[in-house]
Amino acid sequence: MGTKDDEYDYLFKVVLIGDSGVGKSNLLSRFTRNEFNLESKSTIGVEFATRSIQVDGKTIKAQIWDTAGQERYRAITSAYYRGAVGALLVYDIAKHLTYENVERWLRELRDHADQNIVIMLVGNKSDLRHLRAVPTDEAKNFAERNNLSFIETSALDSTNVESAFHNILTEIYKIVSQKQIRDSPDDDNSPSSNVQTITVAPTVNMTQVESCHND
Amino acid sequence: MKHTVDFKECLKDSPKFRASLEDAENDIEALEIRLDRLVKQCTTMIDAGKAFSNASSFFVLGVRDLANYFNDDSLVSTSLSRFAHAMSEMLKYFNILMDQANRSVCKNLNNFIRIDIKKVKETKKLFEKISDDMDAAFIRNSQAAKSKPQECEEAHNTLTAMRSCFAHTSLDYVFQVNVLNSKKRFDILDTMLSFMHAQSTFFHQGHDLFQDLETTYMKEIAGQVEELSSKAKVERKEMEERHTLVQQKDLSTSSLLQGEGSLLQTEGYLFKRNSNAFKNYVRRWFSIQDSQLVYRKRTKDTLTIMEDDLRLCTIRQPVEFDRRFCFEVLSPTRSHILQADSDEECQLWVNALNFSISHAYKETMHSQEKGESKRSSSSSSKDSTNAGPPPAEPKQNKARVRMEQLLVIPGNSHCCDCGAPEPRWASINLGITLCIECSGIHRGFGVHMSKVRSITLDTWEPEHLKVMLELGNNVINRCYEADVDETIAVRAQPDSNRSVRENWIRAKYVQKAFIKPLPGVNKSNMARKWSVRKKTRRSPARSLIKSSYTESSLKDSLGSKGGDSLSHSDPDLTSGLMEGGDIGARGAVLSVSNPKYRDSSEVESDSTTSGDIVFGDENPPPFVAGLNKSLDLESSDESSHDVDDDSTGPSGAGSSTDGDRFTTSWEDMSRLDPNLLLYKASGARNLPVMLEALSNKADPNWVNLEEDGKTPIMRAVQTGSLAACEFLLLNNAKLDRKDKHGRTPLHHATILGHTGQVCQFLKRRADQNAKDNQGKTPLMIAVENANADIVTLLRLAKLNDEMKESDGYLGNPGDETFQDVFRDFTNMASNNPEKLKRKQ
Repeated sequence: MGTKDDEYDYLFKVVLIGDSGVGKSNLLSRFTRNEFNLESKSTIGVEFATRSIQVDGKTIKAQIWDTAGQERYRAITSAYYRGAVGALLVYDIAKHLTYENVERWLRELRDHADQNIVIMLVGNKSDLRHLRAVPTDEAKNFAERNNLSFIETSALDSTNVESAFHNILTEIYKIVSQKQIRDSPDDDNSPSSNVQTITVAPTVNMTQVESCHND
Repeated sequence: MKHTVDFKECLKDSPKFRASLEDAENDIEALEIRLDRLVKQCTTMIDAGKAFSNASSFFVLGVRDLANYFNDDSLVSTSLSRFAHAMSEMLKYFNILMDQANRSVCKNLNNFIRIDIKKVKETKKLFEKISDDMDAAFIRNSQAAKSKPQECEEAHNTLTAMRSCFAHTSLDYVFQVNVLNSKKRFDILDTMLSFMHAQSTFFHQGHDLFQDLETTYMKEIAGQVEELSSKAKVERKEMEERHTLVQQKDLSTSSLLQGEGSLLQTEGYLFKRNSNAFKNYVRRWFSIQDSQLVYRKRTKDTLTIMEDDLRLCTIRQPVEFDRRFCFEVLSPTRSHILQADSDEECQLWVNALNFSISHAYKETMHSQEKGESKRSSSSSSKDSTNAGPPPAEPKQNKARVRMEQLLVIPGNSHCCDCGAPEPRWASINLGITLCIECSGIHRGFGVHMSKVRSITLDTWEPEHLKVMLELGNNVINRCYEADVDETIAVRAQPDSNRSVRENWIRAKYVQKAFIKPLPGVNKSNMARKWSVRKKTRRSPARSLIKSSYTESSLKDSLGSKGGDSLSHSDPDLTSGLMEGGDIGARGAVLSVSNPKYRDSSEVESDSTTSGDIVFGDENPPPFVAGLNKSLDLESSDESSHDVDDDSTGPSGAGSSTDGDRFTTSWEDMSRLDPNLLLYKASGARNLPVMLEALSNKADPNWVNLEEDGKTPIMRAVQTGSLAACEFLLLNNAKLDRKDKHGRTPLHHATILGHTGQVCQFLKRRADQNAKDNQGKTPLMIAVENANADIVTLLRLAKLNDEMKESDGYLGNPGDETFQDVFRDFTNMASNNPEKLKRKQ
């Protein structure tokens, strides 16, 4: 347990989701340890890693949950999403099926995650230009339609990995630090004037009640 | 009268006659025009009247409707209906008036025009024709030639006839005119008079109606209206004053907020920190009701229960927090941050909540004292619902269901130590229920002796309940009160004083003065071998062991073991096993620790041949009995691992094959000691026998060198029984012991894929970094086995530890998720173990 992470202003839980083999674990290791493993094994259950970044002079600690893509039908799917404020939904730009499955992952997020969760669509393996199966514009349009941020990354050559995490954490930070503004439209924040005070029904007062019970 | 035409003049047919006749004709013409116009005007009036009447009746309907609106205000509503009634009466009168106008004015005048005037006109035409004819006759007469006397004669005759005819006709005509002239006077007057009468009637009726209403009612109402308006004025003034009061209140401090009324009814707006990931704050209307903290949106009517039992909550004011005026409501499972608008309000809320908590406690005491009968009478209905309590069900109900469950266990309806009825406390490591006095004594001896919980007030881990359900006061007392010697301590009674209780409980549990030692090998003991009855999983469906089943297994064991014929086996034993129910109480007596049984067997059976001892071989109490696997409430993991235990164990006297489906392997009596008994019982998940072994001072952390150096809890892990593990843990079993392969209980649970137990051990802070002799941690094993759920639990626990180490940041999300996930797993393992199995 390093001590350099001990001080932070915000702690955000971010989950990595997407089909098996799209490179979630390598995105995580690239971001948190600057490592890449071409022959990494598939993840079992869940893995965690943390890294702190600076946004607006604040230290934000990201607690990243790397989930296993192939284990959709685990006993505790919802545990992975609980408390998550951000999700990186990763697909492989060279495998169209992983892009097609994005909709299913979105549904899983809607079912299990907080409705305010910030979602970023990540097209990974952008280094595989010659094998590209998902056009950038198509994914970008899909992301816009679904209100997602969008970025293409390569965990192998580090392209945009830093930006992807930075962007989503900044977005979350903005929402969390301005949360009062977000709340107001659909929540009934009452006016700031002191019209509502605590009303107390005019019956017995506290000391009387207590004395009754002491009898 | 001036238009009367003189009959004399008529005969003369003088110019004067003709002039007067013309005058009369003109007059009639003028009359006709006017009458025509009047009829039209009357028709218009009637039409307008009808329209007015329609509109008015709608208005009356409106008034009636308004009266309905005021149906909760009798004054307004009855007044309005009466007014509406009066108005509809008036409308009736008015309709009659219009009808009258139609009949008298329109019809009469029309008749006058159509009949009388028309008749005059027809006569006029005839008169004019005759006049012309007479003129022609005159001309012919004058033109008659003298030379033609016949012609003259003829003309003269014609003229005479014409003159006579004219005279008649003109007289007739004059008559008609004169009649009409006289008739118009009285006819028209009569018509108008009758209409005037109708008008008069109308107003009279109205007058009468309103005179009644006025004198009887309207004056009274007027008085009341005045009263109401003056009252309203006063109220308004008061409210204006109140308004200034509110302003004063806002300006000054909130000293006025306090002491004005009961704190139990405090309500108001607070900011609530959302429990979602973003932790944003929303403003909600909070109130305290029936010792619940509830809130709602300003616009939405539905109440949300934040905490359903305030007695379980504590109120805290965080010292360092990024927002002002905050306080925290802490329940056993959750924490809510609430923010008031000012420091005063914050204090008021904290006081109100604390007061409510203490008030709720007092309430409970009262209801417990008074309302017990009520509670038990409603128990039957609760029983039927306790199968699946809806998630919204308040915690209090959960406590009630728990109480029902616990109190039906034999013996549990009375305090285990003094016999006082309706115990509300429990010792979870002993598996007994206690009255409040005895529970206090238990507490005094410390948690290593007894772990006391309130049945109603504490929140219970599902595993603890499982332990309780396997034991019970009868089972425990058969062991701890097997051989009571009142010279050591006087038996406690419900009304005993504290020192009697304390002595009794000390002798019973601390000194273990009344237990019977395990039977040793001696001459009087005819038993040669022993084993422990395996407990099958608990079934809620009270299925009893089929007697034939039991019988055959009994015959098996006794026949093969004893070597002697079955007929030599104790008849009591056989019948006890087969009959169930009533022998159940003596069932424990059957367990060898009770020499009485052996004595009696010797007495009763004429043969003193040896038998074997099966520990815990009583008929299971009905609520725990059953072999119905589909209704298994134990950990699901069992079925795949509930292998017959002793294939690896040391076989007693070469009879290892005798370890059948229902008992553990047979051991020689010489090997009977508490530690091995505990170990065996752990493998048989037989909690009563485990208890008996522990009462005989078995070491919960004893190492079985013959079985890879495993401890009882490692043995219990193999069975997958959460209750057996929990019972050992509650009785000081340690999770850090290693077998000869260097494996901890957590290693074993991981290897076996027992997710429920991994969760159970991690909750008790088992060390997930412990390495076995191959250098493997549980996590490494779980990853190798690709057991996603166990990997998740292990990593989550690790993360939780790291987060805790890193700093005590308030509301550490890793922490919360950890708690949530582990709570989910615990509930799943206890209630829906099949869900955890899905992975495989």
